[in-house]
Amino acid sequence: MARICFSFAVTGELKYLSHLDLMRLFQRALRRAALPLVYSQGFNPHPRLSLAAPLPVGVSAARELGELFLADDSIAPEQFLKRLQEQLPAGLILNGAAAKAPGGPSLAAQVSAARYRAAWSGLTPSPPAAELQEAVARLLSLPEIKISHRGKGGKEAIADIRPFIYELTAGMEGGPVLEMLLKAGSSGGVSPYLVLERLEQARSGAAGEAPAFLWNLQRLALYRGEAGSLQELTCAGA
Amino acid sequence: MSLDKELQALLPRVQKPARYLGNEWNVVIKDHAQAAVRAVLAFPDLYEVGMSNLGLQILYAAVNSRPEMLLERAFAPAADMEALLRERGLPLFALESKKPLRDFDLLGFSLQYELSYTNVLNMLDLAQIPLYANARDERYPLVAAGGPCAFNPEPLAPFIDIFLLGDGEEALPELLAELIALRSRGAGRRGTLLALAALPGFYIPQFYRPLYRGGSFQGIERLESAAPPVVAKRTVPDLDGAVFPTAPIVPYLEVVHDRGVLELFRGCSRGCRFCQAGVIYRPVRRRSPETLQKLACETLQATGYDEVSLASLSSSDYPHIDALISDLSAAAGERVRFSLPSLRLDSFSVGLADRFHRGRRGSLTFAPEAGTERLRRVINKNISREDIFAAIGAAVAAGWQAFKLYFMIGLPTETHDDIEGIARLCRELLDHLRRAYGKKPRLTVSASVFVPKPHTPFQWEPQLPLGEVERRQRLLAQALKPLRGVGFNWHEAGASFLEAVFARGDRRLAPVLELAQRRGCRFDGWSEFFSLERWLSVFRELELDPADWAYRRYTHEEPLPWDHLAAGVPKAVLVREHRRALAEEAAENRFEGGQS
Repeated sequence: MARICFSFAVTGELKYLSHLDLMRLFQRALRRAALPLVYSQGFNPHPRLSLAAPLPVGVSAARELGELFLADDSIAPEQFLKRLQEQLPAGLILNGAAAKAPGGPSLAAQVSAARYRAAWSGLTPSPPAAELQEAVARLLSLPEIKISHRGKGGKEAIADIRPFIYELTAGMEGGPVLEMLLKAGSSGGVSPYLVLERLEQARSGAAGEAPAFLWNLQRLALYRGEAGSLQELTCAGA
Repeated sequence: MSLDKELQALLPRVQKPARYLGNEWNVVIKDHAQAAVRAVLAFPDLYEVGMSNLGLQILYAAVNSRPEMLLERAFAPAADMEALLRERGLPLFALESKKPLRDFDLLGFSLQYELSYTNVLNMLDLAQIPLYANARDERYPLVAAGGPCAFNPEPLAPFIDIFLLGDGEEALPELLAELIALRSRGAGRRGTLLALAALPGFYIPQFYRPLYRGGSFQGIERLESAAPPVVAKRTVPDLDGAVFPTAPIVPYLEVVHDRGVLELFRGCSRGCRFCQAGVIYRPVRRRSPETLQKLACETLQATGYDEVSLASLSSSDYPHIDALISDLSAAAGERVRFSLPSLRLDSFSVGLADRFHRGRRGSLTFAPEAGTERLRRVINKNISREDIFAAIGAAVAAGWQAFKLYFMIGLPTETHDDIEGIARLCRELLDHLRRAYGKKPRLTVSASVFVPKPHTPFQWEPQLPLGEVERRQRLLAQALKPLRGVGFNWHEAGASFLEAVFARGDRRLAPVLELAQRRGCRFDGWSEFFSLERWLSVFRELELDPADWAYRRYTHEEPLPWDHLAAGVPKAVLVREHRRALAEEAAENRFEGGQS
């Protein structure tokens, strides 16, 4: 049995797929490629395939990670890449693959942070750079950023997302651009949309347009490790 | 900004943008400039419903396999997308090219369900195409419609240029080839329709005029000699030679039927007297095991599905179905599951379902349809109480833990005893299962409402009035209440009432549809959008009484609005079957067997 880690980019309209859509897409593509998948035990066996972190609907991605098991360890990573890529729709691009030791923690268990880039969509007039920078400073100066969300058991819960924002910077590259490093993974995290929504509030003082309309969001990379000593999660390092 | 760009800007603002991408696996994208004829298949329901329809995939493959033709898809946009299109004045578009529907040569609607008619009009309206056929000139596409409801399409007649009766996989490419030829001869809109009227299976409603006297339908008059007195349906004689979509479009979204499909056969030999599908899909035509095996392998390879549904109106009737599934399973490998969409109520079918089942033995579904043997004789669903006990007993013994049982309320001759018979059957079944197997499975009784459908032996029967349907639903709920482990679901009676109105409707209902669309009726088949009150106010405003269509007992002698459309079973046979039903006699051979 072989464990393979693969890296991929999600571009164009495929950013509108949900995590489950993407999982189904990979499963079907792998079966079309006739790769010897390993299935889980139990009543409802499914291929042992997982993605490192769910990608929010509407967010494109540069270097997402996934991993799976193959029954046959004679399939080289390059061969795996070629066979799978042929069965993927345009817009889903494999960057690379590497064999991985069968033991060890899953990718999903290692993810602790994610870096995003938001570029102004151009669908509405862009705010002046200074105004955006001021809003970023204002947001980051808040001692806490309270949000209400559905907690465990569906109950309304209040959380402070300020500690989850590790970095947030604004700049200009033809138009306004933001970069954010946010806590992510199984021990909690914050959606980039939520940060953009609060930023818009800090800027205009009102709820305003949906962040997905104002900004083109891209996830640049996933990280592992503790805040302060984060390392990019890659197939080589995982 | 181009329409494509405009739509890009809408996607971030709708709940499920993946409905509108049009770039799924196996999609066919053709250059409009290279195609001699351009058509759109419009499905008047959500993407998730339309993409579960086998007919859509068949037609898509049949047309797109021809290099000179192009067929794209359009679905009813969800409320959020509709609001954005209207707010910005954008026209409804085809998924593949994002071109406006009005720029195509032919727009063809799939009519699966009467309660999708307002969506048909709404899609025309969103496409910025005039609703009425006589208001459309050469600038607009021809508007066609086909599917089961085309066998009485009269409520939609003023809006549609061409109805297609029967199987579409040959007729639609033929229609498009005809359009290419007619255009090269310079035939205008009217000339085109006149030429099509002479071909079998094409019903051009504007060449016929209904006659009324004192508010009653008196028959239909032909206005053009090219239009035949009776339009025959199209049937593909041999399914082995017919097109089958082995590389169907694989949706990204989880659709209603999210799996591959193999159509084992078309038609049904059962002869249930309420069933319209059993008539309009005649005669029974099977695919051979060899063809099915080939189609299954190709489908799996081209889609990556891990489940294939073996579809037909009664799949366990396929000869040697057990051998077929064994062979298919052997060819497909252990990770592929073959499933049967509907199970006949007998031990053979249960054994079959059990043998090829994977995973937890959850729930099996059966349709006894009626609670007493007497009423089952009336509808010609000839299964006995003992058959039911034996079938479900076999399933319980094999470890199945839950059963769904489908019944109909309001069948002809139904009495309160037949309703109580449903509860009696459930109680006795549970007693039997406890005594014989020591098991207490969960039963879910699901009760729909009988709708008299054109071309069936029950087409003359009235629907039970709404109040009485609701009374019987309550009666059944009460009778089931003392039974532990029995759940009960029932259909919205108001929706079934409207279904009956439009199923037997005539052209006087067209203004009702038009006004209903303007008043906001959409997705009437979805209980969360359906409003009986809104519909009734539309009828009141037009001074029409929907009860005239749904509740009236039609006579065998009077002309029916669909008499000029031939589904395949002669009216005389339907009359005899109707009489035999009321006498609780079994069907004659001519009606059973799926031939005539």
